[in-house]
Amino acid sequence: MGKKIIVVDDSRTARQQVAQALEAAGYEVLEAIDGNDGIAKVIAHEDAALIVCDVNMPNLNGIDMIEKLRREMPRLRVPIVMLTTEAHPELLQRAKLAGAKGWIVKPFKQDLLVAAVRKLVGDK
Amino acid sequence: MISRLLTFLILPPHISAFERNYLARMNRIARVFFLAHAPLLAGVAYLCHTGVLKALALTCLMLSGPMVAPLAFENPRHITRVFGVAAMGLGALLVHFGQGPMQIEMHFYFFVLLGLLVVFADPVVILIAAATVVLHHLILFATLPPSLFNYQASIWSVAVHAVFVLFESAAAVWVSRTFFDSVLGLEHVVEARTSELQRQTTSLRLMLDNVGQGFVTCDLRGVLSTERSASFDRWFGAISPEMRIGDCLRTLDETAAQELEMGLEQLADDVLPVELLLTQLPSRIANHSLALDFDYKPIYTDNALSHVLVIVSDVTYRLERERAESEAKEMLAIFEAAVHDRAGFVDFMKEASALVAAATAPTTPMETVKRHVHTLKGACGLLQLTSMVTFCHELEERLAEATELPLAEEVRLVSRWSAFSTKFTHIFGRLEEVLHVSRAELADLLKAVEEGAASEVVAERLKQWTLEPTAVRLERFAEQARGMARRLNKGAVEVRVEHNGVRLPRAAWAPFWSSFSHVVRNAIDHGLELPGERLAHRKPPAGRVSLSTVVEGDDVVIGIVDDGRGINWSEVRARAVERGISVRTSDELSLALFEDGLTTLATPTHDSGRGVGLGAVRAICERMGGRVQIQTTLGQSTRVEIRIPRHHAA
Repeated sequence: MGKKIIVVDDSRTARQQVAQALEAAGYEVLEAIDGNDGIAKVIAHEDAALIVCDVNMPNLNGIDMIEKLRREMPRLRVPIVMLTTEAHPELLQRAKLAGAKGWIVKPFKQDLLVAAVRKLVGDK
Repeated sequence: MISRLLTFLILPPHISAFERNYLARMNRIARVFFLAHAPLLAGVAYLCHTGVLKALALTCLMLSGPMVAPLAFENPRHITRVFGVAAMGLGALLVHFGQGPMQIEMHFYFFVLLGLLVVFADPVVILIAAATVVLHHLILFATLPPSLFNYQASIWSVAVHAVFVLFESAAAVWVSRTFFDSVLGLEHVVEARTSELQRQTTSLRLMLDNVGQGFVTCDLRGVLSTERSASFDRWFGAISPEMRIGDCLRTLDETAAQELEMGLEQLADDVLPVELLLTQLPSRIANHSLALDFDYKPIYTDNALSHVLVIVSDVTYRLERERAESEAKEMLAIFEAAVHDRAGFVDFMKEASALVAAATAPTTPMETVKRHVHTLKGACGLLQLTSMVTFCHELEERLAEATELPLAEEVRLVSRWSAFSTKFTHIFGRLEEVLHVSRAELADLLKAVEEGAASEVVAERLKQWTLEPTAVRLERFAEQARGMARRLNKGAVEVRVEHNGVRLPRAAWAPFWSSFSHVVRNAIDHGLELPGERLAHRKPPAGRVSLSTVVEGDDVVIGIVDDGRGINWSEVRARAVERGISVRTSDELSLALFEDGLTTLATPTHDSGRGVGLGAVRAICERMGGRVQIQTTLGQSTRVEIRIPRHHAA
């Protein structure tokens, strides 16, 4: 099995889309259904290579989630990339300040998503 | 061979500015050098007792050439050629006035001068000088030998001198030409290249000034290059040095400007792939008067992304044209519909306006709002008002998750509809209601009058005429069903109408008919199979649908039968269970079919599939005191029968 990637998205369809693409590329995908679940998954899988995180989610949204992660797990070094339907500048600025490496706009082309993940986790 | 020799000896005619400068300087130095000969030769004459005054006079005569030449010739090369002759003349004077024991040594001076003449970088100067020496020797050997030799020299001495001059001249010619080619001529080549570059730049500029697209490059901080096409300036105004692309865009669209800036920041971060990030940069920027499409191409320097080429196209006119075309098409559809069936169109406009009003009323619950929008979409679809259908479809998508109607959407819906109805009134004014009476009905009544029917009977018949024949409605649905079947590739569906002369009050029944269109749509879209599937089940390829109205006692029975695939109750049950609807009895199950939001279609289409339609029918039937019944045989047919009291309370 390849590197572990945590996918946090409240939409099952979106999670499946990402999972399908990444599993086909040889990664192990762990799905989380909202920010809280995302944090739980991050704690449970410290060896994860990447977190792919939706912005708009119930309970704990993506940006709050990564802000919380940075606060509570300051030594966390896993790169985070946001997955978002709208590239709203202010939101993304906040995400970036909270430590997100970048963002991928939905809908995305599968090959571009895989290329992005490869680059983020350092696979050529 | 000869021509190659000539091209070697003779310089190309063009004199570059560099060469001209160089020769002017050399010529000045040469003149000073020549002038120095006057005292020198006078001194030699004095020492050799050969006549100081004569020496001065002859030297001045010889110097007149170099002194006058710059005035006589504009071409600096001509001047140097005069210098070639004069130099040898001065050599001859030195030999002449140096008569005595040193006279032969004075001949060295010819070789010195020939060597010095190389500085003019012109083989012709050397050749002229050499020829001058040869002529000088030959002439004086014949006429005044003491001017050359201090002994009894033979012609062979002259020949030996000539051979030495020839050797040095050959070398001097070669050196001066090489000097020209590698120094003065090189400048010539550079000049040619520069002017070629200039020409290319000019044509590139011409292209950039006249191309319709905007081209500009910016670095990853967004700083724009100064080279760009004129269109870019036209859209974004003059660009000052160090100006950033985000600031240009800001005048048109603040959000897009921010998006672009953040996108460039991402590119500079080099964390995500360039291809992905370029697709995420803003692709269209529009304000009320201008719509621009943006395309981006990466520019790499030393294998790293350094700049982005931004290609901007003005799509304002294209978008406007597309909009105008679709509007024109829609107008045609309105026109056709209104001409074909005025009353129907009036109904449509009334119904649609009512739906918009109801959907945007503050107290309307969200489920109902969605249903109204869906009904509006259906009604517009039947008349092929594509832009309204698209609008409603998109609105439905946006409202799918909403729990209340956002103000922005409300405003959009209202303004959209009022724009549409204004357009409509522009063409038709206010449509008057029209009574539909067939010739048969008229003949029938005439006959009754002629046969002396009682006035109450005639009055009752006439009153009936103010009611609307269901024939009009059913024919209209038949037409729509055929059109829809064609759109959905279901072939030439055969639609039969049996109206049985039923007439119904128009206003009271209008809501029912508009909801009935859902039933018709369902029959075509869900009921009928595609021709291939039908053939596989040994059915004729085109489906059959029949629409009927009949009066049974106090009830009007409206029926629609299709010979399609029937309703798959187990699928309905599964969907119902998924949504937590009770389906224990078969009655409950058929009720579930009418539940709002229940659909067996995976992806909603423009035509049907949101599960809203049948719910609307049931709601209206119940309000009118009626009921809906469904009979279906899997794989064979579905019959929907609606029974409503003729004089219902609503």
